[in-house]
Amino acid sequence: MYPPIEPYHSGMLQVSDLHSIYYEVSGNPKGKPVVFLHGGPGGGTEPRQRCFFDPARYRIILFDQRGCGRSLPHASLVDNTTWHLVEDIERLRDHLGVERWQVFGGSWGSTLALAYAGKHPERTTEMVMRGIFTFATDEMDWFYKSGTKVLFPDAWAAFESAIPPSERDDLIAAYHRRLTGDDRRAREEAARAWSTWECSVATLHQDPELVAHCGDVAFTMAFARIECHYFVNDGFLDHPHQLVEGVQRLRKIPAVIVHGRYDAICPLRNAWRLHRAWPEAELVVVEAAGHSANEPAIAAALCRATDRFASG
Amino acid sequence: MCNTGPRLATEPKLESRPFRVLGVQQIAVGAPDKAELRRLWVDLLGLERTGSFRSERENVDEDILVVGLGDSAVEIDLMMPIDPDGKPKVHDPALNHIGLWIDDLPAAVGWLQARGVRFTPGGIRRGASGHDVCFIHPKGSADAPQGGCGVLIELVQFPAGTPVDRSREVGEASPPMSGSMGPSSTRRGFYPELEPFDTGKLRVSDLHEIYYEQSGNPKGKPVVFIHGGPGGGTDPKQRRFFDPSVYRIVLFDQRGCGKSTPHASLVDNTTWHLVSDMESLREHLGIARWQVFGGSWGSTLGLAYASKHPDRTTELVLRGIFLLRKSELDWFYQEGASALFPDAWEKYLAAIPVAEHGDLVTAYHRRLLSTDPQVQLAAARAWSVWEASTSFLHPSDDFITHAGQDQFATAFARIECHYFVNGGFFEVENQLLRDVDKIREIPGVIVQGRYDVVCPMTSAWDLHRAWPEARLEIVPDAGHSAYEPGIVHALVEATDAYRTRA
Repeated sequence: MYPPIEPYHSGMLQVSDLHSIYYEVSGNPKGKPVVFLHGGPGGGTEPRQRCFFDPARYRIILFDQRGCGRSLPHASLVDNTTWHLVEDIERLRDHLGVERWQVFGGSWGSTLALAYAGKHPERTTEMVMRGIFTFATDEMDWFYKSGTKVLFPDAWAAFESAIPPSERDDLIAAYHRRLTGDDRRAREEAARAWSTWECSVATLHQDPELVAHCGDVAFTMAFARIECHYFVNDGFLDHPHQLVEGVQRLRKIPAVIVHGRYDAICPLRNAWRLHRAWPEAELVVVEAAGHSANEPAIAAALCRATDRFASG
Repeated sequence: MCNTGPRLATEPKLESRPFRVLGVQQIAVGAPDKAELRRLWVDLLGLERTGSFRSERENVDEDILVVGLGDSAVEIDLMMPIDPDGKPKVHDPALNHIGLWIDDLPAAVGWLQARGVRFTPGGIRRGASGHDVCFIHPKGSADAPQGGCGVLIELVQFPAGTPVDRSREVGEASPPMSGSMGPSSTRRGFYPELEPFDTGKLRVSDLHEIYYEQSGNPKGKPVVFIHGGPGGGTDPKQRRFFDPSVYRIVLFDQRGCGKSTPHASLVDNTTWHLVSDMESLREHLGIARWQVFGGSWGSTLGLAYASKHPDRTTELVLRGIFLLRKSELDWFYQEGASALFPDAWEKYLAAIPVAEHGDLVTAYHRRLLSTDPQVQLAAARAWSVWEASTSFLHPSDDFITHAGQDQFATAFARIECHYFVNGGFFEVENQLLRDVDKIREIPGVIVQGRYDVVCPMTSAWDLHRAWPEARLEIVPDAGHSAYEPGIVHALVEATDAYRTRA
């Protein structure tokens, strides 16, 4: 990855009566524009995410999606849907005077990238996607019902134990009730357990720093509430195959898909399916890697992709 | 220093060169099928496969290997064409091209062109490696007489200001990785190769004879190795989990596989026949009690044996736990592992018509029992290759090739599938967990790879919860195979720890 850098510009953009979103620009002001879409939903951005791009060649734009990171109001679920976020991206593009930009996102960031590019293919110069997630039914079931737990029964036991046995047949709904309930302590406990499950299995080798980060109350409250809100609403999509079917409109956009073989959150099948629907998009399978963009070999593959597009 | 003679003539030119070749970036080799390249580069030469890359535009499906660490790391790309008739022909010539790191590519191209070096059409452009590249043509022409002397040479721009930290990229991306057991250098390996001091065949029924062998110390502590599958047979390497100066090491091929005869027979071939064979073998060898060691199906049979004969079992060393429950079979043969290995899964599915995809074990079983040897063999190969493709955290093509061999695949697939459609011949699905009380007092170790997708950890976890007295050792960077480095370490440590038990 590239060395740490500071933004040369940052601000808040009012995107609705209620919401304003934090954004920042770093790298070369005259460089090729790229927008970074963070995961979750609800994950917020981090400074190291600037480092996937050559700062000499890119104008690097990061923003926190509604309700998370430094965006306000924190953890709000009002008017917070996939399509609000897509509109926010357009508003931000306009605000920054960017004509067209590269769209870069992993995990939920790949979902939002597909949703955005599907609506605005003419604004999208290239796509770099990692840890593909498209909201297909079997993708949700894999992580919250039947897949990941088979490999991580220990972490799953902790995730499950936060919910009484009588409610365990639909864990997402049970968590949603607690995350949106009035009891602050119950909300916090649910948020911590929800986030810890995801962070425990995100890297090939469990990363204690990441797991500790997932215990942070401010982070988990936005992360867990917003994720769960999107999940119970099926990503606000019309149907579970919408995004994969939608790639027919994107096939002329140069694209790279990077996916870890041992991604236990978003299994490789998700990327394989996308690649089959969109064979022009290059698929880079990183054998000894999990889900996280911070896995060294995943980060390296992502930098290779952005380097390549920078000179195109 | 003080150059003299003809060398002087070339020195001034060298000094005026506006670029430097920083090192070898990659060597790209091609073949119609990259599997044959992997056998050489990965299995025989031992290079680590760190990724793969597919691009229809470049007509390439390649594996990326890395050799060396830090700045001296070099990529070896094993390329096969997606369309064998398409262009570019990445498999022709076989030693396709080499890549050189250049500190200033435009300067290099300009300077070399001015000196008559011929470049391929297209000039400087982005390469598959993600960097700007330009190719020196293998042959010179009238205008540009200097070619690559028969070799296609890719000049690759080294990232400006070295923004890409290659030591991190390569060093950390490529295993050995450290798990809870520390770096691989501190890991235990196999004991040295050894030959058996005794081999034989034991008649266990009117029909069946089983092959057995003993190695190590004839007066040592007895241990019986139970192989996987069922139907996998033994391998000389399996003697090497045990200290040969301390252990009397017994290996045997279960009914119908390995060197046991008749080969691939399913007649009188059940879990309980095998348990009784183990007792016959123990008596035949004059062993009163022995350690029971087994992984995968070997753990199933080890648990079944110990629950029937706890008094004969001194310790249990189990790996990659398999309890032969429907959920485990479904995970591997119907829906589960398929999500992580969609590429290998496509091949497993392709052997069965879509109409039968709803119950793949049954569909395979029908074919494996077919009287048409072609049908039987095709199914056996696909069945065995699926398992071999998913058994390692780092894929082993050697293993995959072995799994596809006729003799092995036929016994392995037929016997496995026969046991699976019969629920392992257990009275109830949970029999092994139900009977844990019978083995509770036996010292035991459970070794489990976190990324075992053949026998995923949930079974080891269930066994551990039913039998908390046994030590559960999770190897964080391993899949299913007993030969994964972290698994070998844990198993050898386990048998070593039991050396002094009477």
